[in-house]
Amino acid sequence: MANEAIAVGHRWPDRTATVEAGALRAFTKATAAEPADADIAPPTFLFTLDLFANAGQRMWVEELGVDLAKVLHADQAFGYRRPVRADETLTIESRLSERYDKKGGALQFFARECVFRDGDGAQVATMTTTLVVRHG
Amino acid sequence: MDRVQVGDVLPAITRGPITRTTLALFAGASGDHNPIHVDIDFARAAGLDDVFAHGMLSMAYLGQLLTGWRAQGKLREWNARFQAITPVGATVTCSGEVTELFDVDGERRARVRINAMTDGHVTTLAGEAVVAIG
Repeated sequence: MANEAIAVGHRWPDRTATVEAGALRAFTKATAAEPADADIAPPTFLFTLDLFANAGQRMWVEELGVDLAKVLHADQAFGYRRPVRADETLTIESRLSERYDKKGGALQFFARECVFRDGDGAQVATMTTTLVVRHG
Repeated sequence: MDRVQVGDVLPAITRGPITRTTLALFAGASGDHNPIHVDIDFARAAGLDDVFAHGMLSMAYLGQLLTGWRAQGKLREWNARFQAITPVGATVTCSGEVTELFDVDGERRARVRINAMTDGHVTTLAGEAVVAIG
């Protein structure tokens, strides 16, 4: 069962990550993109930036104590105040924003919300990842 | 640019076919190293016939649908629900249609229904975007 100690509102340690130009080029190639401006991070790159910031450490879903083999990505959402550009360093704040069950607990949902801030502390974007754990 | 109206259809885009090379490149470039997308031995041990594409790869394609329609700086918010897996070899077509026009803080915005569909006619991702227009 999932770790009950991690409740809605639980805050993970802030992380920082730099949007590297080479990483943007690799992402652009891997997604067959033809960007109008190669220095702007594509809309879903924030998801990757968060993974890069977390590289080598336990993923949040592992901390929840669930079986990774039973986890599926249910929903992904983004909100933007402005585009993110190459060479920017962003701070990522994250917290557990939702957890709920469906089908009598057979499906457990967890949502993690991230807030991306620039060097001035201004909010640049938000991202919410919802995962579902299938039991039985 | 022409005035946006409810019912307008975004220029569709098609990507793929998605090869194993596509998935290997995306695993490295996206930071999503889940072996279920690149290691057939792992996938079989998990009871699947084969690896399948990252959901976030198709969401990146949906992002291209949106930024191909309006400049990226106009994209306010969007989401996608992952409804079905995308198999190796699939071609993915991304489509969108304007469903509503509204104003927020004096800014004209369009709500756009978006989806990704495989050449097997399976809807893999479905969602909604809010884009500034005008």
